[in-house]
Amino acid sequence: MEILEFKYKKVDVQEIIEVVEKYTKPSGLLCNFFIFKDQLFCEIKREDLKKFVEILNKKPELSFEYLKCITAVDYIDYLEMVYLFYSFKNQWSINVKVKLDALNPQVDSIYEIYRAADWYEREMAEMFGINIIGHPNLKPLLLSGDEGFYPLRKSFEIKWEEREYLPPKKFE
Amino acid sequence: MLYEENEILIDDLPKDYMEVNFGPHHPSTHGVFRFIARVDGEKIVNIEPIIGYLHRGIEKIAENRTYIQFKPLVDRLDYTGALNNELCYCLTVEKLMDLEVPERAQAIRVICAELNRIAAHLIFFGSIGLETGAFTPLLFGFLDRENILRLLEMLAGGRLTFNYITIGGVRQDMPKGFYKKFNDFRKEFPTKLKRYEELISGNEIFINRLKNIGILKKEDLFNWGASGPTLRGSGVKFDIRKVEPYSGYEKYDFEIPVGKNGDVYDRYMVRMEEMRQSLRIVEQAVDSLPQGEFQAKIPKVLKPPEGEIYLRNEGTKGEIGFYLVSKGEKNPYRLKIRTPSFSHLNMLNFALSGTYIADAIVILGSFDTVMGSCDR
Repeated sequence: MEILEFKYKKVDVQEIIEVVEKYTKPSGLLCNFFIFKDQLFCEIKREDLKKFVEILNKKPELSFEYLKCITAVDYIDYLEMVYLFYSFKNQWSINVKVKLDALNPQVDSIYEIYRAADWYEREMAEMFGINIIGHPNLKPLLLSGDEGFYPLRKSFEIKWEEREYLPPKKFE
Repeated sequence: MLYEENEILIDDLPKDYMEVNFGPHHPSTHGVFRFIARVDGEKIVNIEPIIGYLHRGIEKIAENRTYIQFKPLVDRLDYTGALNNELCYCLTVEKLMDLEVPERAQAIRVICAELNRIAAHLIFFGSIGLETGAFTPLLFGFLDRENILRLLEMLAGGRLTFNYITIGGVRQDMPKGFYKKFNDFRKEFPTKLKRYEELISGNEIFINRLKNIGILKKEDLFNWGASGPTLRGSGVKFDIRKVEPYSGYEKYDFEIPVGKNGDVYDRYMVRMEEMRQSLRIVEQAVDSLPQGEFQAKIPKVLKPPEGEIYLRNEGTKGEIGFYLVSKGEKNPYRLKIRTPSFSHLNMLNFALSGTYIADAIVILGSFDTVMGSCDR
C-alpha cells in the first residue's frame, strides 16, 4: 500500500463554504452556514440530508470521507442531529445540523454512505427515541430496550432517592 | 451408496451456520465485551457484537454536574490513558471560554499525556503477547509500566485515575525530584524497549502469527471511522498532534510511524515505534520546561458562554473528541463523548468476517479497545 501523508495546513473556512455551495446550489439545496470559533456549521432541511451527505462524500473536490461522530441535542421544542464530517484530503471539517420535530422525530439513515454511522445512529435512536428511517439493524445498543423512557431527553430527570437514616433498632 | 446420498443432502441443505458465543467475561476481550460468531467450519461468516455491559450514563451525569465536578469521571472512560481524556475535556472547555493556559502548564500536560501513552502501549504490548500465547511480554510490559506510573504518581498523586489536569492548567507544579527520577527512566527505557523488540518483534513464530491477518484497506478504514494507530497501520500518516496541533505539540520534533500492509503486525509495530517517539517528546518537553505559572486564573464558578464546540485530540487508541453544548449555565447542556473504541468495535464485524476463529482474538486485540471508553 502507498503511504498517504498529511501535514499541518491552514484552513480557510470561507473556502469550504464556497466549494460546498458550488455543488449544492445547482441541485436546489438550502444550506444555512454559520461560523463559531473557527468551526463551520451548516443547517439543512431534514429531507435533504441524504442528498447533501452524498454530495459531501462523493464529489472529489470535497471528499468528506470520514465521519467523526453523530450526536443529537434535545432543545425541548425540537431535537437536533449533528453530523461531524472530516475531509482528509483538504483537512476540512463541517458540522451538519438537522432540526427534527420533538413529537415525531425521524431522519434518514446515512449508513449506506458512511458505515461508521451504524452504531452512532443506533445509539441516538435508543437515547433520544429518534426514528432512523432505512437503518438495516435498528436494535438497542447500550441499553436493554425495555426501559420505557429515553435517557438523554431533557424530560427524563435523574432522581436522587433520599433515604431517611434510621438508627439501628436495639436488639431486644 | 449412502455416502453419495449424504453428499447430495448436504448440498441441498440450507447453509446453517454454527453459532459460537464469546464473552462477556473472557480475558482477551479487554473488559466486558461479548460477540456471537456465526462460523462455517473454522471460518467466521459474520459476528454480532453486543456491548453495553459497562454503560454508566456518563453523558447524562455530565448534564447534572458542574464542569469541574464532572472532570474526575472523564478519567473513567479510557482508564489506561486517563490523562489524554482529561486533556481533551479541559481543552474543550478552555476553547469555549477563550482561556489562555500558561506555557509551563502546557508543557507539563504534554509530559504527562505522553508518559501515559507509553504506559497504555505497554499494556497493549503485554496483551498482544498473551493473545498469541506468550506470557513473558505481559510481565515485562507491566514492570516498565510501573516505572511510568511512579513518575506519574510523583506528578499527580494517583496511579490510574489522576484528576490532575484542571481547567486552566494542572493541579500542582512539577515536584523537585522529578527531573532526577525521569533521567533514570530515560536512560534505561530505550535499552529495555530494544530488548523487548529483540524478544518479540523479531521472533519468527510471532511474526508468522501476526503477518497477513486482519488486513484492512485505508478506504474501508476511512468509511468505518477508524483512527489512531489502527489507521496509521494501514499506511495513513495522519496524526492529530501534527495536523491540528494542540497544547503546544507543534514545538516538539517527532516522527509519525506508519505501517505498509495494514495487518496486525503493522499495527503492533506502529505502537512499538510510537513509544520511542513519545519518549522523544517527553525528553524535549522536560529539557525545555519553561518557568512560570502552572495554573491560569479561573473564576470559582465556571460559566462558559453560549455556544457549541467539537474538539478532538490524539488519544492512546485513536481520536477522542468532546462535543460540548453550553447555554451559559454552570452545567453543560449536552456533552457527547466520541471514543475510538466505539468506532473500532463498530468495525469489528467487517474486520472479522472471512477470517479464522483463531485469528479473531488477535485482530480484536490489535485494535486495543477498552470497554470503559466504548460503553461510557
